[in-house]
Parts: sequence; structure tokens; C-alpha cells
Amino acid sequence: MAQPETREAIDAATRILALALPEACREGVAQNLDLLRSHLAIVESCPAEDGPPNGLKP
Amino acid sequence: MSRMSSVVIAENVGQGRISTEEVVRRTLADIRNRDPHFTAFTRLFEDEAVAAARVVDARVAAGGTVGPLAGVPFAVKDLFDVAGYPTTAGALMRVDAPAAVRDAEVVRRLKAAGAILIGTLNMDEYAYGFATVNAHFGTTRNPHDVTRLAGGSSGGSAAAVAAGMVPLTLGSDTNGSIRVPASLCGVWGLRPGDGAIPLDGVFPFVEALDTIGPFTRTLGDLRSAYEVLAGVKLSSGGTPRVARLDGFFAKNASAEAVAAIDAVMGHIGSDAVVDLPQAEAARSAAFLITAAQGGALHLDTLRTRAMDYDPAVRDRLLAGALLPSAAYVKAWEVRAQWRVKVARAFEDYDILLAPATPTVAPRIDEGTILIDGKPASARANLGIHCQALSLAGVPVVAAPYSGGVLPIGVQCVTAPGREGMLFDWLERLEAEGVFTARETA
Repeated sequence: MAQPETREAIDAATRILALALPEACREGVAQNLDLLRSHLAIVESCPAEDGPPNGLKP
Repeated sequence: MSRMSSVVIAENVGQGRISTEEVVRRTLADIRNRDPHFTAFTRLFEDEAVAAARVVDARVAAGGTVGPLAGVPFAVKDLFDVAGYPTTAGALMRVDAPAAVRDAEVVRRLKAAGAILIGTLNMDEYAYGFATVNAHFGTTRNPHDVTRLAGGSSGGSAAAVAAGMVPLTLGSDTNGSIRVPASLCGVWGLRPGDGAIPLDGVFPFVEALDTIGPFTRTLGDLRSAYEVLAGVKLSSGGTPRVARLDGFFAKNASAEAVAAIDAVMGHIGSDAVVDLPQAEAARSAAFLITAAQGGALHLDTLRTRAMDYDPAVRDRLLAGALLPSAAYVKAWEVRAQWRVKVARAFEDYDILLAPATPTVAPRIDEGTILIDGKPASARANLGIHCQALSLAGVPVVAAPYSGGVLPIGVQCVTAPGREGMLFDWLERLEAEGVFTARETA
């Protein structure tokens, strides 16, 4: 079961992108967003280092 | 005849000992007879293949020059453009898409080398998965045990080669989609370094990570295919410095995956270990970049045809489309740091070893593997040890370990420009029996 705040975030993001999210996929999308949030937490735990400027694609 | 290697077929065709038309007709008959057990193929180009075979035979009969892959039957994952046919990318909604006007550049190169295109191969829809469980075109089954997954997303490409139906196929590898099915099906698979093989005419998934490469049953075939696809002649290297990757790459590895790397290291008499810091973050960064770029690529179609997608793929793409840009930017920062770390490791070593999959092929009716001690989706996690290496953009050969009951592969990673050294080293290990593609019944 997805986190309640994820459901609220989906409502906001779909409005911005003009995405009419079908009800049938709302829970699946929320669970996938929770998974992405866990990966973001891992990425954000990485200490910042000196390196190529912000790493954006050249 | 269908189990002959590309090198042997090309040699015999070139010298007029066998006819290409005979090779192609037998190959097509074999596929029609056996593929219903595996669901590897999605289309056969029977008339075009026979016509192309006759052209090669006529050239041989006239004493003309034929290419290094003369008469070799090959097939491609259903995301390579084939002139005159829609490129489905494994999606039912694309079955009626406009036909491609020309072949993908790599298809053109293989044909120019004398190879004969036989058909297209099954995949996860839009290449988003590690299972080749396709809601529309069916599940590709592992030729070594049809109750098990072939892996994905290039599962049809791996299964067709493992079953001996064709000696050469092409797949794509964004996060491990060549290495994972090669491992589970016990064949050779190559993810090239960034930019080494052109992507023109290949349906995209994640621009930052997409690559394409071959599957074969012998390393000699992998070398000849790579040289044609990349347009290079690999030079011989010296004696490589080899180490195994530890840390994140040892975590979640099953006993079979660990045993395969132990066997290689024992065989070469080395205990060198490299622990690349931030590997887990690199894997997560690849996950985030994939979600964001994949979601953005499909945004317009998701707005209008969301319910026409494979549900599992649709929900992942939608979630990616909704990912905040700050997460995407942070993932690119990790990518830049990670590439520096990997490059530094190659100052001390030439080849790094890691599991290609955390486990042998899972059963289709289970669909899960253990990650951090808990059941997790095989579709999303079979490439856990591949994704960080995709982000590094380095060449990787998934080599089939000869031991064990079911197949499992080892990722043999090198630095761009050292592919020749890697192939020389692997040829020695293949000759000494450490790596061997598995025969199927």
C-alpha cells in the first residue's frame, strides 16, 4: 500500500503535466513512486564531492 | 546445422561447401517446429530471408567476395527497425505503427557482412523489465528449463541463441537487458561501451543509458559480431590485471553467483578485490534516470493511451513521468562522481568481475527473488548488479560460467579501448573450460 502523502503528490504532479491518471493505475503508480523515493534517499545520502560541474550531460 | 557457430557457417558458405539457402530453410523449419516451446520469436521474414540467401549463394558461385558473416542467420529484438515492417518495441499499440523506411544501422551492417535476417524477438514492453513477461506477446521461456524465466528485457534474443535456433541475435542493454538474459540462458552477451555501436534506427528507452549488442554461443562468434557491429578490428592486448568487485556487488549474490566468481578467481590464481564506494548510489541513480527519461519519452502517449500499455510497464513509466526534476539532477551528479571512481579503478586493473544476475533463473510462477532478505520483483531487480555498471558506460561481457546446475553468468568489465585484451583473456578461459555456453536438449 502506497504512502498517503504519495497519493497527494500524485494529484499535484498530474495536474501540472495534464495527465488524467486512470483510477486503475493509481495504486501501482503510487507504489512505484514510493520505490523511486527510496532510491532518491540512497542517492541523497551520497556525500557531495568535487567533480565535473554538476554532472549534467555534456 | 542450426547449432553451427557463425564462424563455421561463414567459412563453409564462403568456400561453397554449404549453401546459404539450405542453412536458412533449415533454420526457419527448426524455429517453426521448436519456438512454440519458448516464445522467443515474434515474426519470421521467411520470403525475404530465402531471397537474401540466394543473393549470397549467387555471389559465392560467381567467385565474388562475401563478408565475414556470409550466410549466418540472425534475428533481432523487436525494437530494431526493419525496412517495411512496424517496430513494435514489444507493444501491442505499435503493431499497426507506420513501417520503418530503412533498416537500423546495425541491421544494415550485419546484412552487408553477409548475414541473413530471419525474424524479430520477444521482449518486455518498451524494454522496461528484466523478465520478458509481455502481457501482449507472451512470456519467453528459458530453454534450459521452460518453467523458468529467460530474463529480460532481451529475453527472446537470449533464448533463441540458447535453444540453438540461430547462432546470433541482437538485443539492447539499458540497465542490464543483455547481461541478465545472457546469464540466465547460459550464453555470451555483450554490452558495449558508450557510443561504440550506433543506435540509429533503434527504438529508444533511456538516452543516457541505451546500448545495443550481440548474443552468441561462442566467444569467437561474439568477437566477429562485435567487429562488424562496431566497425573495428580488435587488437590483441597484454596480460590483464583482474580483480573481483566487492561491497555492493557481493551483496544479494546467491551461492551460485558467488561460486562462479570464486571459480574464475581460483582458476587464474588471484585474490584481488576492489570495493567501489557509492556503487549502491550509482545503481539508484541509474534507476532514477531510467524512470525520468523513460517517463518523459512516453509522456504524450501516456496522456492519451495509458490503458493500452502493459499495466506493469505503464505504472513504472507514469511514476517516472511524475518524478521531481531535483531527483533527476541529483542522480546526474552521482553519475559524474561514479564515473570518476570507476575510471580510477581501471588505473590499477584491466578487468573487474561481478555477478551478472544475483541468482539463477527464477521460476515463472514465482516471479520474485530475494533482495536484502525479502522477496522482491524479479522483473525489477534481476539487474541489480548491472545497473551501476551501465551508469559507468563501460564495456561488459556477460560470460557463461560452465559449472553449476542451472546457467549463471559473470560480468567481465573493462575500460573503453581494452576490449581486445578482454576478448583475448576470455578466449583463454573459454578454451580452459571456465566459461562455456550451455547446450540445451
